[in-house]
Amino acid sequence: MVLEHLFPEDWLEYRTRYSFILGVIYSVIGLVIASFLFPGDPALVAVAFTSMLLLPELYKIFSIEERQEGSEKNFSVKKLWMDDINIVKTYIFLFLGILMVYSIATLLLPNVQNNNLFREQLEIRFGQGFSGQAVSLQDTIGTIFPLELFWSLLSNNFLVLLACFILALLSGDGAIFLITWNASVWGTIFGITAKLAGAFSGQSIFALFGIIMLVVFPHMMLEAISYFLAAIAGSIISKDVILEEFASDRFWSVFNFNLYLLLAGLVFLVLGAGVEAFVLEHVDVYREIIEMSVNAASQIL
Amino acid sequence: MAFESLQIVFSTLILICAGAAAILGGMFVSKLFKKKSQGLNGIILFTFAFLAIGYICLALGELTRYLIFSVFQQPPAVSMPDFYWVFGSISLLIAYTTLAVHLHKNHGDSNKSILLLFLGAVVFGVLFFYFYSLDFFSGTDIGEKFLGYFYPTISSLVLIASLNIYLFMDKISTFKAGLSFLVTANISTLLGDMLYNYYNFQDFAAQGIYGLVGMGADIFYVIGYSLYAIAFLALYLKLKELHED
Repeated sequence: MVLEHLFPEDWLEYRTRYSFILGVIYSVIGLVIASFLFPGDPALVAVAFTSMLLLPELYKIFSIEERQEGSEKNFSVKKLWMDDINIVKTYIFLFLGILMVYSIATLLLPNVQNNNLFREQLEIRFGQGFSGQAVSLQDTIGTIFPLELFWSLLSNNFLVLLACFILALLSGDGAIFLITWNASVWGTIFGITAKLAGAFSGQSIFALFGIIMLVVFPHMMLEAISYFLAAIAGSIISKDVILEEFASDRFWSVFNFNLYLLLAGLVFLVLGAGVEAFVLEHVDVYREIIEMSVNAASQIL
Repeated sequence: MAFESLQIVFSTLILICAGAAAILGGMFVSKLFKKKSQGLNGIILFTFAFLAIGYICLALGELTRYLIFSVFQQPPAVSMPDFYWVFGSISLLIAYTTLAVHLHKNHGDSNKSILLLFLGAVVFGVLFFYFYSLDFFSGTDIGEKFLGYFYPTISSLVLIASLNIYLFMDKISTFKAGLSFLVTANISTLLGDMLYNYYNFQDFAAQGIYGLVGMGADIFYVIGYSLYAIAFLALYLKLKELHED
């Protein structure tokens, strides 16, 4: 593709912050192309286009990463972390870029356009579809730590993590589709919640959006990092199988590295679900904003 | 009523100063990590990384509080800002404790340890008197009670751990000025916490009364965050100077 040649090969690997700009540019391009080519139902197509544009960039950095890990002689958690930190950072900034585009678009576009452009994402809000639950709306008032909610969040998010790992394992960099999808769903839902709550209460939608983001940010990032780690582990194992001699020492060392990475992803997932369950239980302001948005939605309907 | 009109001014000032501290802290640590290859001590990197994380969390807590206050017109009781503040305070305690252990391990002697124990006893004596004499936790829920004890206690622990910077001032060569600002800021933060606690749990906040107590707490926080920002600016400039040399 033409766009990937605009940046040097190792640009994202060493200038991770720029991936935020890349996430913004590619998701805007994805949205524009999808709404022109498929005006009837552009939501999933936009996510697919964005992922497609990101694939060549990711392919480059995963190939560099696999070569680096293959040359490691001894295993240590520190080395593993140092090797993968740049990729995790790249994913984080890409994710935030995509999330920001979808949030701002939801906040600024008229409702009719939102309903069409983000139809699939908005359906998640009403419990349909597949996505990480950084946006759970379950009611659990009255306990210090809502164990039931924690298990429900963990089991749902575990499926997403597993899907990221398996997709990456089978298709190399295919998990980017799920990651882009999650960023678009979360961005759209946070945006629409703030917009509806603002319409109901007459408060600034940007202040409400700021509160929502600050409330969900810790568990959203923990959850997102767990998916990134699963995707990185899957992608590198997938390339390991192709590039290394099967069952050789190098093959096993890279394989082991990435199993530990997957394990780290699981730890992040558990932490994320724990923080989310705690926050949903104890942050009344968030519940109040959601109630306002639900009331506004029911008035519109 | 005159005080009430100042509440939004002080909230904005706190937010600006906390934001400046977090940004300058982040800039300093980022520069420090770039110089990592030039043989910087791992303990120093760890300490400053946790300090930056701590102050970024405190600033996020202030931002959350400010937004909630501006939308709902009253400060939140126990809510998301506390999540950031608790996490930030723990990061700061880890950072200062690591630095204290490092200093004692390398330069410690019994005189300094005894002096630290004495200073610790004084700080905790004042804290105990504060908890004992002001019975303001009756009738509050468990979360409020926990935070009512938590904030002054952790600020005291942070202060005691950071006092080691004064004790070992002659051994700290490079970042002396910046670190001494941090200790002074910790004193101001502890005083702010004690007043804020009193203000919050006397139901002043719930009744919408700001008054002298609320303003006093905010003034200490403004001083504290300003000093953190100045400290990180001094540290950043020192590092830049070293880099140019």
